[in-house]
Amino acid sequence: MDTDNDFGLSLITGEEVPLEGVKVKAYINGRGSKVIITQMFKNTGKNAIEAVYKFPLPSDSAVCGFRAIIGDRIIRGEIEEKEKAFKIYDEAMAKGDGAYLLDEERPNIFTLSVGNLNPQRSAIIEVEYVSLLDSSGNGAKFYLPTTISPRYIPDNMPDQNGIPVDETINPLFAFDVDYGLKISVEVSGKDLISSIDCPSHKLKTSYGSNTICQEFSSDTVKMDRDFVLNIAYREDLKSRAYYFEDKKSGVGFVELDLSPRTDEKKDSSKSRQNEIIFVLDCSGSMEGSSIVQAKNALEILLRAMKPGDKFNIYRFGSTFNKFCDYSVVYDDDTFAKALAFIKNTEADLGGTEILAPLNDLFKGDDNKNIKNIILITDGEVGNEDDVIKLVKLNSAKNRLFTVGIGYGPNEYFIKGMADATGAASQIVHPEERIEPKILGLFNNLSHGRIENIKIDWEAGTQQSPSDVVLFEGGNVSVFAKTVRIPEKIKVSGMLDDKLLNFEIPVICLGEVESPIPQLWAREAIKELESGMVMQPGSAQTRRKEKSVNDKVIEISKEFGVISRLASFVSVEERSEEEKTKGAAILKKIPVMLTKDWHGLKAGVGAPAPLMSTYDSALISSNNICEGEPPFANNEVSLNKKVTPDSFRSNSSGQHLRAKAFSVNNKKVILSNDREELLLEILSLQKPSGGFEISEEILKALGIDYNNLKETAKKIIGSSFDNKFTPFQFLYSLVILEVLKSKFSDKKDSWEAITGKTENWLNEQNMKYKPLIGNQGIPEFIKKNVLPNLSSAI
Amino acid sequence: MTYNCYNKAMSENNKKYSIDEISELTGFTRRTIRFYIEEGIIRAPAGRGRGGFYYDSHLSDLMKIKNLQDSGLNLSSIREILKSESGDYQILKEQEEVFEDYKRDIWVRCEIAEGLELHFKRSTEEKSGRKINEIIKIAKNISKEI
Repeated sequence: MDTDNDFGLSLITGEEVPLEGVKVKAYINGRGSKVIITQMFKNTGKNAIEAVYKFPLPSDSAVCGFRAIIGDRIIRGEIEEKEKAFKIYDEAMAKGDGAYLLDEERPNIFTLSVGNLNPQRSAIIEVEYVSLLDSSGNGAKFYLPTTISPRYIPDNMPDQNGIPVDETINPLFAFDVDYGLKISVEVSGKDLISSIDCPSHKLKTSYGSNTICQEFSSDTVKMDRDFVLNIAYREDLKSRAYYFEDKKSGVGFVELDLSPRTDEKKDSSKSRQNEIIFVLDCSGSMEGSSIVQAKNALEILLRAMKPGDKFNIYRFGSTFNKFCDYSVVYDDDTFAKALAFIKNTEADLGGTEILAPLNDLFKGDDNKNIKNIILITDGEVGNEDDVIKLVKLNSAKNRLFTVGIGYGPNEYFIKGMADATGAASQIVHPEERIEPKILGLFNNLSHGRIENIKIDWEAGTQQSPSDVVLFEGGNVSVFAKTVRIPEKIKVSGMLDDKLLNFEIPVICLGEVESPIPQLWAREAIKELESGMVMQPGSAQTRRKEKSVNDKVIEISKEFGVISRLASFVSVEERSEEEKTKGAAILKKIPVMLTKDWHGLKAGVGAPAPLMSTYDSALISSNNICEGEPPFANNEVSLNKKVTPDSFRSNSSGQHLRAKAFSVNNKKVILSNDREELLLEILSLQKPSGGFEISEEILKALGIDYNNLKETAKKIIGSSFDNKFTPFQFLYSLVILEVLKSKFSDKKDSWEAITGKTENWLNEQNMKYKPLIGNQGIPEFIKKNVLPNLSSAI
Repeated sequence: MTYNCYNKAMSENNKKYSIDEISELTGFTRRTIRFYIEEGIIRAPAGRGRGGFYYDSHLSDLMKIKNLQDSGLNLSSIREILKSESGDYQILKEQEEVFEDYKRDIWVRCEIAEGLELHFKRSTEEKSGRKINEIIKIAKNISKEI
């Protein structure tokens, strides 16, 4: 085994590993998923081995099945308290039996141990989990990490049970490994789906009577990036509730999926002034596409701010620095300076010491208003719990929104920090469009959190999570144990001082198998684990910690769900001849370094990532299709025809920046790309409101620049002064009307951030009362401009 | 005296412990002890494979690590200390008489519960045999009622 110590990692080359490959079979129905991961081991050596493999799973998954398949024997795993499980495993190994152990190190990092694998023998391990997909509006996202990115461990981090944290969460790494991944995802409800896209991998599609099946177009792929599948349904996901009775225990469980929708128009002039602190991870792991993506996200967010808001920017790595000592007021001048500050930013600040900038942010917090923090990071740290605890202790006065970027961000950490403060998070794959996601997050920040949510379960007990965090337009699932079948569930909450009430009828699942008890258990465990946020040391804390630990183990065992304190273990009892003789040799299985981690070009020879898209109306030529697509008659769709090439150019991390500066260079905008056009428009919004005039945008809209300029000269009004520019005013109003009439389907992307332009136009209207002839300008635009817009938008 | 001779002498002169016993006495979990063996921080047990047994020397090595951890050091620092001391240790191990004196002076700390420890000299344990183990068990039972 050769090792290389670049970046403090032991990079392995040329080592033969006993893992032959990984297969994933996933079933998606609505916003739920069941996944079976199969790992195939073979010992090709001359001595018995103990294979240890660290692998990632989504942090919200409830791992509820563990099986070892040895020849024709299936040995099912049982949940035991973690140390007891190890003892069973260890004793079985001492006896020469086969032993299999699955430990949770973090909610998204697991260690599998395959003990006493004899020479020339194989073992197949199946890990099964259920989870709910992240969903919002009409979209659901299936996400599966395939590799663990190296986690930065701060020097002063204490060992856990005498073992360094590095040993428990960081596997061995390799630039390339021999084993690969096969995946098959079956999505039910074909007729309800409008599109599926996979920004991470190229897929082929086949169709069943009610299902759409997605598989890799190549045989296997390298395990160096997260797998992401975005599913868009024809309609917004609706609130619903299911009741399921566990026949063994006789206990009933309810799953409530909340998706409240309100049609209230938001009055942007009433929205409060915000203080927003941007925190940008500039550690070494961000080098490459991640820092480009992060800078891009930050620029979008800065452009979206309102005049009068206060802001600051932190950059951190081993050390941190700030844009200003204290937050400054957002205006044209500070915006320009902030852009220059970002421009000079690189991923050159070393390690990921995130506690220091957060402590600096939280100290001397005497402001009465809630501080909004937006952290942009890949989250590759090993002290997640310490950071989440710090954030939770300061959650009364701070909301921490998080943006996770890169090919393999630490999803547990990114979601965990946001959850701890009742804020929202977004994870953006490098091949995905970053802008809509970032702007969606900004919408959450400005307004839209439904506060004080109360759920009346009729006969419900033990709700998980007990504190429900929900943003308008978002979805959340809440679980409860019940003593009888409820007829309906009543939900109330406050949105912008308005009381909301919902009633959701309950559907009884009858004899159908359901993972609701396991999902309840996972939520309950997560809540118990995150509740331990007290100062260490006191006897009371220790007693409470013990009681919480006991409860976690009890739930894990009762529901057969893994947790950090309870593991899966199984033993293959062997005949005397089959028993392993002597000590097995430990073989740690290396995992592939995440693509572009630290800017390294890992995975040389790996298949190039291509975005793959299934669209109900149009199937791109690069998406291989089998079977009958549900809408073969090319039903009218607003989506343009998608090809990998056109996505490539759009999805580059440089997209918006390049576009924003391309205007002066007379770059031509393709008028048939609605989304690109929208983002281009938004990128030219001025910090104080109004839009920079762009001849190219007008051309894409089908409006003649000279005609509009001449029309502006006809504007009349009162007390015009040198602060009023008729063409600027008319242009900005045209753009706003175009957004309202032609981009109403993308309102979530633009409404929150164009509030400042609306306010600016209202102020100008009040002051100058501009008219064309005897018509108000909006009426003029509706009659004369909107009907003549390009048919392509 | 070679290492093998030393090991043989120890096995003849010392008590044998199972991994459960050594775990109970040191407070280290079975998992942690296995990890230290894999990493070469302590020697592998005597006998075949995982079912082997442990000597006083394993116990004193683990107690030394425990004491260093209790003083706030992490394993990385402890490795450095053990590495720098390894020469001295070897001399001690090769000089049986000196080692016996050293061993008699060892104080063993056994954690009964959080904030409650039982301290006893290694020589006392040698004299009182298994009674120390019984005292530990009784003390742990009583501490559960606190």
